Amino acid sequence: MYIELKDLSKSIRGTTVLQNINLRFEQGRIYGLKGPNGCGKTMLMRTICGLIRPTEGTVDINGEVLWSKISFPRSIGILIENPAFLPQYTGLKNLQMLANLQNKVDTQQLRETLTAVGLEPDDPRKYRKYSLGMKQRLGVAAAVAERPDIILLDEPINALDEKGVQLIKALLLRERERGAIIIIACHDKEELEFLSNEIIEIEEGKIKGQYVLEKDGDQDE
Amino acid sequence: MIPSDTQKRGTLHYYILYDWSRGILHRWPVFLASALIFGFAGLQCCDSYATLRMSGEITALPSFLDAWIYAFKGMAVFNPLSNQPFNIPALWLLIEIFIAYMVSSYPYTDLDGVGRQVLVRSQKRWHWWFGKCIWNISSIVLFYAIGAISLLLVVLLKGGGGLTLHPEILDIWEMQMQAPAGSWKIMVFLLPLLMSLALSMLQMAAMFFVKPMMSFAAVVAVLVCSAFFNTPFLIGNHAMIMRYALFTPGGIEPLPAIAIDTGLFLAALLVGKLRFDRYDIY
Repeated sequence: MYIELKDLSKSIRGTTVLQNINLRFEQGRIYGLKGPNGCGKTMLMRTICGLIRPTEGTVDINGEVLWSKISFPRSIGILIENPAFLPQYTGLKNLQMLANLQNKVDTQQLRETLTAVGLEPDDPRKYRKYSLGMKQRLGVAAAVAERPDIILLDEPINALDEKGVQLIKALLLRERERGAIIIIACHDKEELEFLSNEIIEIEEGKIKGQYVLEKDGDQDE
Repeated sequence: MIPSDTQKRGTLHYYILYDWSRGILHRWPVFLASALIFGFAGLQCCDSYATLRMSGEITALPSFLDAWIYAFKGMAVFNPLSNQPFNIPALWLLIEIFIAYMVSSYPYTDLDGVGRQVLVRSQKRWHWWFGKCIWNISSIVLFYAIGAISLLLVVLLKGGGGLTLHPEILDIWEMQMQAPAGSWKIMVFLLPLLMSLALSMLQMAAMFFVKPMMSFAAVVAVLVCSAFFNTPFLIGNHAMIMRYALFTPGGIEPLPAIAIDTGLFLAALLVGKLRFDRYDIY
C-alpha cells in the first residue's frame, strides 16, 4: 500500500494553495505535516482523500489514480477539521451508522475502538451532549474504527486532556503497527515528532522540508 | 433508523434510508409547519366562503377541490401596462417559498457535516447526488400529501368535502371555466407538484454553482417574476391554477407545462450529477 502525489497543485479562484507537491507515503508509517495556519496542510489532506480535485498532478493510491479510476481511496478514515456526527445519536450509534456502509467491522469492534479512545460504548448520552474533548475522541474513533489502510487526522489531539492525548497516541501507534498509512497535521511539535516517522514541512502550499525521525524498532531508518 | 444491509442492497439504498432518516424524519418540524400552512389556508378558505354564504352570494359548501384551488390559485394574468397595482399572491407565494426553504439547507449542511464521512465511505459521488434527488422528490411529494390531507380535514370539519368544482365559488375569483373540468381535475394537482419538483431540483443543482442562499433567492425571484409575467417559460405559472387554460383563454396548457417541467427536472438532475462529480468539498 502506498500513496504517491505527483506534481500536485491546487488553485482556488486564482490563488495557488498547493504547489508542485511530490510525496510518497508508505504503509506502516506515520507522517507528520507541519506548518503555520493556512499553509496547505488541510488542503493536502482533502486532496488525498478525494474531496478536492487537483488542478494539476495526480494522487495515486496503490496504483489507482483518484478522479480517474476511483473517486475516493478504497479504504480510508478521516478526521478533517471539526468532527461531525448526528447529534441525536449516541457515539456507538454514530459509528454503527457509518460502519454499516462498508460492513467491514462488527459492533464489538466498534465498542473496542470507543474504549480505546476513552469513551464508554454504553454511554446513553447523545452526541449533542458530548463535551468538546469527547467529540474529538469520537472523531478519531470514527477515523480508525473500520481499520482503514489510510488514516488522515487533522489536529487529532485538539481539545484533549492529557489522558486523552496518551490514549490517542497509543491507538495511532497500534494502527501504525497494523500497517496503516497515517498522516497527521498537528501544531504540537513535541507530540507530532513523538508519533511521526517522517515530518513534512509545508509553507505557502509548498514542501519546505522533509526529514526522517529515528524511532526505536524502525528497521529502515 | 440506521441504514443497514449495505452489502446486499448497495450504497444507493443506504443513501435513500439515510436521507429519509436525516432529511425527513429528523426534520419533522418542517413538515409540521407545512400542515399548519395548509391548515391555515383551509380555514381561511372556509371562513371567507362562509361569510359569502351568509351574505347570500354563494350557497355551496366548499369542496376539497375548491379548497385546493383556493391554496394554489395564485393570481390572474397581470398586465403591466394597466393601471392596476401588482398584488402579490401571498398564500401561493408562501407555499412555494416554503418548498424552496425546505430544500435549501439539508443537502449543503449534510455535505458540510457527517455527510462527507458517508460520502468518502460510499466511494461513489453519484450515489450521494441521486440520494439527495430521491430525498428531494420524497420531501415534496410528502409536502403535497400533507397539504392535501390538511385541507381535506379542515374542509370536512367545516362540513364540506368532495371533488366537485363549484362555478359560483370560482366566480368569486372571476374564474370562468372555459371547458368541462374532465382531466383538469387531475392536472390541478399534478401541475403544481411537477413545477415544485422541477424548481427544487434546479435549486439543488444551483447550490453547486452559487451559495445556497443565492439559489434560494433565485427561486424566489423566479416565483415573483412568474406572478408578474404570464409565460410558460417562467415555470411558476404552471402552479397558478387561475392561469390554467381551463380558466384563462390562452392560458397554461397541461402538455407543454408537463414537458417543460420534466425537461427542466431531468436537466437539473444531469447537470447536478456532472457538476458534483467534479465538485470540491471544503
